[in-house]
Amino acid sequence: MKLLIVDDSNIIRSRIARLAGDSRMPPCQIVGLAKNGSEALGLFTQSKPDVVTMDLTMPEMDGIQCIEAIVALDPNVLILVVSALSDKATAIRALMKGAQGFLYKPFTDEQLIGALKELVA
Amino acid sequence: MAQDSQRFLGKYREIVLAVGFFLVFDLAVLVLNFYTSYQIAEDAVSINLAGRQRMLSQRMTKALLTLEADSTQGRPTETARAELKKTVGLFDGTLGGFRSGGTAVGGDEKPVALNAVKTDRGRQVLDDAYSIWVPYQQVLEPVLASPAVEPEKLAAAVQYARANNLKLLGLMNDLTTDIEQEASAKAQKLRLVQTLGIVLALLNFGFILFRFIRKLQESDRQIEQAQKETQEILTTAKEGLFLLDSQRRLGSQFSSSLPHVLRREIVAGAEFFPILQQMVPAATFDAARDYIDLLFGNRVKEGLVASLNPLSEVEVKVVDELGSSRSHFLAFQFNRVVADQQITHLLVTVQDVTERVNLTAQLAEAKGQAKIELEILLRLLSTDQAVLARFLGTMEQSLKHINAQFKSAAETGGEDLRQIVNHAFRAIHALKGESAALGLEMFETLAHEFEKDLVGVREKKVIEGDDLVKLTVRLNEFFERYTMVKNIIDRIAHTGQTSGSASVAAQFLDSMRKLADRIATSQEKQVQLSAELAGLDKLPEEVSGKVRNIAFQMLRNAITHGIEPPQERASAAKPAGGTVFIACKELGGGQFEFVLRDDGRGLVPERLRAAMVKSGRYSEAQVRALDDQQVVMKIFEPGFSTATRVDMDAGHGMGMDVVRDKIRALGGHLHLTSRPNQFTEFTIRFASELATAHGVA
Repeated sequence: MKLLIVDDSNIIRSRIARLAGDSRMPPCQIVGLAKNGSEALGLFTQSKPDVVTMDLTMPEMDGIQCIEAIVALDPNVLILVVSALSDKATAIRALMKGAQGFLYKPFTDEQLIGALKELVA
Repeated sequence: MAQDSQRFLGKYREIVLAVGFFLVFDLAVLVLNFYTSYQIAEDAVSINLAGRQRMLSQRMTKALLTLEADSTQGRPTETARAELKKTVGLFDGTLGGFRSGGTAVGGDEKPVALNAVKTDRGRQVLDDAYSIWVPYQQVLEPVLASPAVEPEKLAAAVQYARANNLKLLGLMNDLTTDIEQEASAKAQKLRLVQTLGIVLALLNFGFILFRFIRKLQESDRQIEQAQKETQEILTTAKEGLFLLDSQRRLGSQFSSSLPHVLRREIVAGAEFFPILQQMVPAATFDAARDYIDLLFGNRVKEGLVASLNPLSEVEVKVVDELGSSRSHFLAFQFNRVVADQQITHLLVTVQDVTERVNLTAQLAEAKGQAKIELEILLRLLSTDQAVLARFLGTMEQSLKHINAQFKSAAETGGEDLRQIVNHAFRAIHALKGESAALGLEMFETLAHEFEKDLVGVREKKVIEGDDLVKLTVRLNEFFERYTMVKNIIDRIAHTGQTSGSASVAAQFLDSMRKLADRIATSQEKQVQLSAELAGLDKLPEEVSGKVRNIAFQMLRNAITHGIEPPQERASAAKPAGGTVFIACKELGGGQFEFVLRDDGRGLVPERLRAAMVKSGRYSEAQVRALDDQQVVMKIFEPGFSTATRVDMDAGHGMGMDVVRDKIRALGGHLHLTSRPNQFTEFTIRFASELATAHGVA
């Protein structure tokens, strides 16, 4: 699968990227790392990933807007929201825009791998 | 698809097979019927022709006799001969047909198929008939060959005919009987086969019926069993269980405990959202509705959204019959029910988790308590033991004094309760200040809570004995903590820990800095403390203690009321951080001077007037009647405050009156100077020996 990682934190981006290469993960190719929604949208159009991990609180274009735009481009894309947001209502709104799953930050390696596996299952 | 059909066959295989057999039996009987009826038709032809042979044998004899009579009487013989010829040909052809099969001429002169006779008896009859017929044919041949019949030959033929006529008739009769019997045997066989086929078909039908009824009964029993089990689950489950359909309605069945868990009546088929709306806050309800919509949609992965369930632990308020509201905690769990890859329902599980939530809260509280005790220990270890001992001594005295006053008030009831409460307030407020200065948060918080209660009582129009009882509870709490700390101190003392060697002045400055930092941080202000405290070390301990006490209180007031927040200072072109200067100087002749100066907003009479009116204790007119000096002096009255909020450090309208009392106790004189938006400076002059005289200037 082709993976696009969207998060304004460099640490989270590189951690997800590292875990994407884990042996427990299904074969995965990272096609882009974006630090905000508008960057993500650009990379999405270029590289057409199958799976996107999406932060919600980001500068320029936030996660919810970005999900809406991405799903409009490709309704079959799988999106995992990865957020530290404690407000469930906002997270639910993100899912209503078309994401399939949610993972709380901070997460363990096993949690992220498990969530991505379930997402593509 | 193939799997589906296999599953279908698996369930109904027996019935399908039975119906198959039924059809095969019926078809077999039908085919047999066709075949036999065809045979019967053939047999009928045979019987008919066999019957005709009887008649032909007689007609042959009659024609021969007629020929003889015509011949002897000289009449023409053509008609009789033609008749004889026709009859002989018909008889011979038919007999041949019976012997070896083939076609014969039927009753309507048309050829018909004739089967060879196969029965032993029939063959025997035919053999017998041929043994008569072959010679018969030979004697007839000359008669039929020539129209001019020789009389001898005709006589021989007539004689043969007379001799064998009845025998041939009898044989043809036997043939007819044999064929009839054969046909009858066949018909019997057919009936037997038909009966057997029908019996088999009936048996099969009975089997189908039996199996079908058995199957129905079995599935009915299973359904009944399943319903019974479902019912048992629903009646015994402690959790509220129900199915939510895609119309967001409750299913027809739900667990008996559901109404109890939800604390309301539940009707099967009721709409779920209106029920939920009554139970939870609007925001939670909205989120829950969206969440349920998400689960009914097939886009999200159930396992990846469970953490977002807004009802995973929700507080629900219920008003009981007496009108009092009680809250409990419910945990809702939603699971998709999928049939044919469609989400048909959500299985909803509701648990009352009040006990668990309370337990968690208690655990957290216990943890908090343990943390406080650890903090106490660490704080006590880092505080100068002599200072601490003095502080605890003061506290013990104050608490005991308050206790004695409360007690005597309760017993005699004669004393002025308001005065007692005011006194208690001052004492507790002072303890709070000292606790803060020493960084003993465990006493500071407690004192603050006590203070709030005292304010509550003081603000009542009439103070009653009962109010004091409530305050006694707080007092006991204070005593308990005092005792706990005292015990710890004693134990530390036993382990031989001694205080450091820092001077009184240095320790005091350290305490003042800590207090200034804490107050400034909590009020989002910036304060710097500068000090010249050489004089403090020259004072006897008793006097020094009182001075320090006053200093703590005044520092608290200076930061809270004097120093402005950074923005206010910036707009007044002042540095963002305020400065408080403290000094203790020896003036000579046993006289000392303590100074505390802040570069804050100063004492502005107009602002003080506004605060006085706002407090409700003075009318507009009363305030206007006072001159500026008098207004400023009001800050030393009990209950005066300009603070806009109540917190640990300000707002109870108590502070400067405590200072005034303490200055009196020190026998000192206070001098106050201030300039609006520039500074406020308090100067206290006092003697190193405690004097009886006191006053405020």
